[in-house]
Amino acid sequence: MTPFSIGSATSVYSDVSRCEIVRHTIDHPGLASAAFSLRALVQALADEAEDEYWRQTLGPIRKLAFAFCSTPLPFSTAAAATGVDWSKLQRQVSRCQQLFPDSHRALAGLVQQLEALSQENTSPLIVPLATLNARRSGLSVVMRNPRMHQAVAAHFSASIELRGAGVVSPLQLRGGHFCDTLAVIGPCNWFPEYIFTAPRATEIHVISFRWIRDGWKPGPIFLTNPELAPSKGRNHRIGKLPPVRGEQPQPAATPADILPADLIPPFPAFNRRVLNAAGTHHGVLEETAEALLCHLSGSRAVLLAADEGASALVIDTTETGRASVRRVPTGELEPGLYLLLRTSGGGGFIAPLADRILGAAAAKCRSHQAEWKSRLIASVVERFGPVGRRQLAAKLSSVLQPQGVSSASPANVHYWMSSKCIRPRKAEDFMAVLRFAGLEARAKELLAAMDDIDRAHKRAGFLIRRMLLQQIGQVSLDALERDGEMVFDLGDHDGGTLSAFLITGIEKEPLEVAADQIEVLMDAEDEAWLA
Amino acid sequence: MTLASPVHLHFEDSGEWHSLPEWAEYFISVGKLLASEPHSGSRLVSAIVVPTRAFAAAFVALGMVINEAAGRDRASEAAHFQDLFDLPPGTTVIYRPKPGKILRGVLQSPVEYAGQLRIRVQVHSKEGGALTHVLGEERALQVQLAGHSGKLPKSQGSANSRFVNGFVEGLLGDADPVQLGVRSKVVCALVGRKNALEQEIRKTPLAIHLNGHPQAEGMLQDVLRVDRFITGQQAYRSALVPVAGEPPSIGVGRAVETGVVFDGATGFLKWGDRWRDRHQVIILDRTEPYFDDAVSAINNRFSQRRTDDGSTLTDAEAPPGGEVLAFREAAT
Repeated sequence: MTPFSIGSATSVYSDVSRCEIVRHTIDHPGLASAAFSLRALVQALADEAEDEYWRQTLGPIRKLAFAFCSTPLPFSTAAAATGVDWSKLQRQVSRCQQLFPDSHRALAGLVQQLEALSQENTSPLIVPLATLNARRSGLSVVMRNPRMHQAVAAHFSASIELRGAGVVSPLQLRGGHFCDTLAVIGPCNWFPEYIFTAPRATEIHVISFRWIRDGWKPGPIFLTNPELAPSKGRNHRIGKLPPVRGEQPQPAATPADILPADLIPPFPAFNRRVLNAAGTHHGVLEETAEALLCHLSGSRAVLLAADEGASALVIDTTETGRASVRRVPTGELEPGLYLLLRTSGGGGFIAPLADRILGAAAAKCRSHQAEWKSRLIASVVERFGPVGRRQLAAKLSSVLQPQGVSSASPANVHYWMSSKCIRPRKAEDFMAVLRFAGLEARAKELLAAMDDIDRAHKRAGFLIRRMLLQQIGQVSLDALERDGEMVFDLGDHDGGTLSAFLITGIEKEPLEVAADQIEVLMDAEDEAWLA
Repeated sequence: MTLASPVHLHFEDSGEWHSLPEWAEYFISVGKLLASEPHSGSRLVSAIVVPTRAFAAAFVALGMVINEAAGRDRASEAAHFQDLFDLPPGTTVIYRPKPGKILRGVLQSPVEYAGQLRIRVQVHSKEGGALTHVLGEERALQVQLAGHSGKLPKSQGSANSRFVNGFVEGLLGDADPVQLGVRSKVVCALVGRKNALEQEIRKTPLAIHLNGHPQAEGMLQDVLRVDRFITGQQAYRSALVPVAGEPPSIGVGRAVETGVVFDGATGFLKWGDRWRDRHQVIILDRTEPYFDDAVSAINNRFSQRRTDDGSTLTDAEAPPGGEVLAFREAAT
């Protein structure tokens, strides 16, 4: 990203001074009815909504209703873009009759309403956008649903009345994306507050349905009352913030209001039971790893190794030059960075390229790598019995540490036993491990092979980073920042295809998972991860 | 308390020079005012919410360093005299006998005169009479290191201004700067992202204008002298603590004389509890990921540690899109 100059910072302060927020409320009785029906059904189900049947049924319904309320696309186009499967939904309605007869009528009515809406070739969100686009150039549109960005951008460029309008993400509005007019689709609470309090536009138009409550207004963020006279030990000042014009919300919420959060599909809860399954089986041969669940844009997630020294390759669009592509320790990853993952095949992208670098020697080296690990595990099992990997690691640690292998903590030994590890960092520690595994006589050969792999991994990491830097230097990252994802084709020969995904959150508690789940992209729309 | 006077800096945008905008002057004034606040008993915490973090911390640091240079005291004169005293004969310097007059010089062996130690600065060649000034501690700050050849003329005219950094001089003004001296010190610590701060401090051209024309160009680094960006034998005046790196060393922790500027939430959340006896300025960008966490941390500190002891910065309005909470807390 181009760093902010004093000129661009001045534009930000100038925009805040001049900016006005204008509320526009729109109506659509059919959509209002569907939204109220959906809320009534969810409220009636209460805890039952967590049932697997309802999760599978309500998921696409909520997604569709949210798309109609949040996406400036003709309802028919929005429905197609969500990929809703009407025949599957109808089957669910039929099943409901047997499973939950009390809710059947409500569900059937709701599905019927949504199906009727999805036949409409317009959306009430489009008219005010077209009016704004005709009045001023430089219209940017921000919305809540990043998976719809590409469809909306395509619709804008194909539409006479919306041509020239652009789609932006909230993330782009953190940086230097300035526009004359910003249209915000949906209630203010759907968006980070900075869009309104640190605007990159001189006019912000909030376009939302009348029946979605939106009581947001700019205000102080520090706790003290700024209207009190400055005391000796306190001084609280608030600079100019954009005023809000247009239709003001009702002063108090009523039970009839639909709150902004009511419409947002629930955050995908990737099933911890499934993710944790490997850790509960305690099979000797089952390779497990400690991992952190990393949430990505577009309701996706990935498990990242959390062992000491584990890191991930990221793109940081707030940095310039070499710092924009770098490895970051897993524990230091944060929202706003873009995580790079192998697009096809799953798993890491370094090892496959390292094998190509090793060429004909790869098979032999990898075989040596697998051999010392299997011999080590077999030796530990022989001595301590068939227990889980974690316990084996702890037992081996208690043997190695008294021998002076200071780095042999249970966590490190567990990592040494995993297929991801090449060898312990210190050669003398590796020798101690080989001695325990009864491989002392072949130590020289194994050490040489592991060093070859290590060099190839380093070279692969260097090559991939260099190729990414070259690509990033040649292409605009606007699409990455707008859509929260982007594909980088490094060529079949070198690195294949990598995808960058915006990190939206990181769970703090590590999970014990099967090692082959690490770095595999999980999609909330793929029900296997949620079931 | 009133706002400190503006510094008349200009910045370049699209090939044209523009005077520094109000928001930038605001941050410089915050740094200046904070640097003039005493530390006794309590310290000042000033949390400044901004619509963009760009340049805010760098300008606060500039204000601190400018103010510190202006407030030279007996201790700094003595320290500077000691440094000059220890330099080997032949070291090249400039000597400013009075404002506007600059002489090239070469240090000679120090002497004792009338029971006091003196340094000697030779300003004319042997052929010109080898005029040598004998200077006591009270005039030490008028002598500064300079990178000239050491060849002295028979007499000196007005051609020596090139040995002075006009940009630094323009910023420090009446402070009669010693080009920030030969002795390093840490007036302030900047805690933030190294690349972003380097871009602002070391790669952004600025200029001092006189009568509508650029008089001297330079970078913030010329005055801030950030330790990680200095070259060669330069002395430093401020320290950078990169948020991506290791925790600040004990040395940096102890060395900070005036205050710490946190450029963003991350550094503050990591190390906001360090430097408990130094003033703090916390720049919080509304758009950054951990903004809300940092605001909560400041609200907690305000409610738990605030004291009513002493003044709290300026009465100036917050910049557009900004919010400022300044309070005193007990220095521990």
